[in-house]
Amino acid sequence: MRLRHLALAHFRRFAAFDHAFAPGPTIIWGDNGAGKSNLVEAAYLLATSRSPYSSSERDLIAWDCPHRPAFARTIGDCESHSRPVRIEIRLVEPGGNHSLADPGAAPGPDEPYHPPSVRRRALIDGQPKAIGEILGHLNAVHFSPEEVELVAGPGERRRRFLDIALSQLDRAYVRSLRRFQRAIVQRNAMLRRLRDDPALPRTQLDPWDAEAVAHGAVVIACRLRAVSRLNEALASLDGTAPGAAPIRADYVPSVDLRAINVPDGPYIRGWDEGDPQVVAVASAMARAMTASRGRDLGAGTTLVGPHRDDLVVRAAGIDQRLYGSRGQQRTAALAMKVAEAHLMAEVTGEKPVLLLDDVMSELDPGRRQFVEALAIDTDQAIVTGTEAAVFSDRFRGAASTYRLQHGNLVRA
Amino acid sequence: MPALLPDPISRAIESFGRLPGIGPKTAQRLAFHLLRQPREVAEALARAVVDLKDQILECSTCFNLGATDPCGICTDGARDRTAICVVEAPLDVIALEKLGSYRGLYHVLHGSFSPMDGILEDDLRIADLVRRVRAGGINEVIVATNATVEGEATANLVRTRLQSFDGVRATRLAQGLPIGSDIEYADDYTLTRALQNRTRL
Repeated sequence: MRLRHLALAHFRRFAAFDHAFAPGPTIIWGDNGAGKSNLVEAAYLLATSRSPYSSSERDLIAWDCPHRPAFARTIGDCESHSRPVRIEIRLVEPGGNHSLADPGAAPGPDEPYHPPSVRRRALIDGQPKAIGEILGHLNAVHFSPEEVELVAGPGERRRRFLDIALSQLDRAYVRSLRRFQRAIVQRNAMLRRLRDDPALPRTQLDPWDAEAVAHGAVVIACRLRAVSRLNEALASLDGTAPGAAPIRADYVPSVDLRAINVPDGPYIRGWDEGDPQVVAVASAMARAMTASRGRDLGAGTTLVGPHRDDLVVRAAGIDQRLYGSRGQQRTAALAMKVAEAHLMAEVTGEKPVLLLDDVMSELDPGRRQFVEALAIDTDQAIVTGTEAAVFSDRFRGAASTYRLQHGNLVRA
Repeated sequence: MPALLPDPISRAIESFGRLPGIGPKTAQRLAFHLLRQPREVAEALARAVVDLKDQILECSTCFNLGATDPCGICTDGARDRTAICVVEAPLDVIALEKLGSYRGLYHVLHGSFSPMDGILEDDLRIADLVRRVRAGGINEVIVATNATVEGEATANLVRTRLQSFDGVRATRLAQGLPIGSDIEYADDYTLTRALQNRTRL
């Protein structure tokens, strides 16, 4: 899995950027504010359709862009299973026409109009596609100092970790997750209607329970299997850095899954409602939703389901969110990311691109060495830092090293 | 703001601007276009719009739109009166009628179950459907709602409301491969469904 070439237009601070990446590690160093993270962000956007740093795509557009409507464009020429694929994402200012200054481009299918958000348009090999179609063409694992939140932050952060990892691996997961989320929005709206008007028959909740369970059970089953594979990978890290203490992640469901056995073996893609394990999870979830109805009505929101589940990350059995030091949390987060890369390689048969944004300065020498070895071992890694000196001579020898200055990469 | 445009023009722009998919720019273009057209064009448009409201009726049996009540399909003696096809919108009836192969009756719900849009069971024509089935003579209700989350929930609701009627078969449209397309290009969900709903060769 490789990103061979990255081209940007009006993306963050880059009016234009073009670079062909060599295989193996690429070091990009430069001053704070030079735009190193923007490059990592662009690569991650092409992999996941989302920014790792900003929840609003508005932030990604260079607003001094002379075009109206303003837009940002990222184009990645990737290689997956030795086949080239070109991924393009355009972020377009809301309002106005969206044809851009590109007469050859056919407009994408009409999407509902949401004024405050930026429109995302995706093209694969020049053909307009739904944004979700880009997932899986460029698989990436991203790590930055903020990723300590994966362990230290709220449960939402860990659910997103699982969702993004699985979305890159399994289209069926994306579809089930979206339909589940939609069903929950509808169920919550129904709950509030029932709360406001007690005369309405409660049986109108039944179809939403059924929809939430049908798709939510697939989400849970996929996550259980993925977590079991993550733990397999975490166990293989034992004794090596970063696992000074053995790290484990346990899925903490909001519905009672004690009767569910997660079978060993690789992660299987494309699970659906008919799978026996999904059926077992679905009946547990259906029971929990029925039992939770009274509380849900009072709260006006759905209190059980995969959107309420969490992942507890433990080192030597100790919950790192509650009891880990900042350093231990960072180590545990790094281990989770390494496990994610293992999972991706196992499922797709290709090592993902590692995007390591300014992580070296935060790590002790042993872990730095570990990360460098990892970056050399994978097909491609893009590694940033504020100075070349944070990287070992051995790593610099194996890497293509560039300095980012005035928006250009200069061979260093 | 001082009135830059004579009142009739700004009223026309305002009216066009209220239509779905028409922005302020397009509304202006439409208004000025009509201004330059012969009077007959404007009159034909005005009449068509008013007739739409005056002459289109909702069938009190199937709730499809038509020029008469009951509608042409409901009064057509040649149709199979034992089957009802439940759809979300009148346009779905047209799509099915184009086939020519479905000879049963219809029931238009006028929407799908969507609490977030304020559409609850009573806003759909489900109670009327139950009444039609209770009146007897129906062997099959084919639920042809969309394959969206809302369409599935609507189908689920219709199924539960009809489950007490013995001898009435509730069915759902099959989901699977589009005819004439390559398996290679089918999206994963469609392909999964096609596999689940496979039929004996």
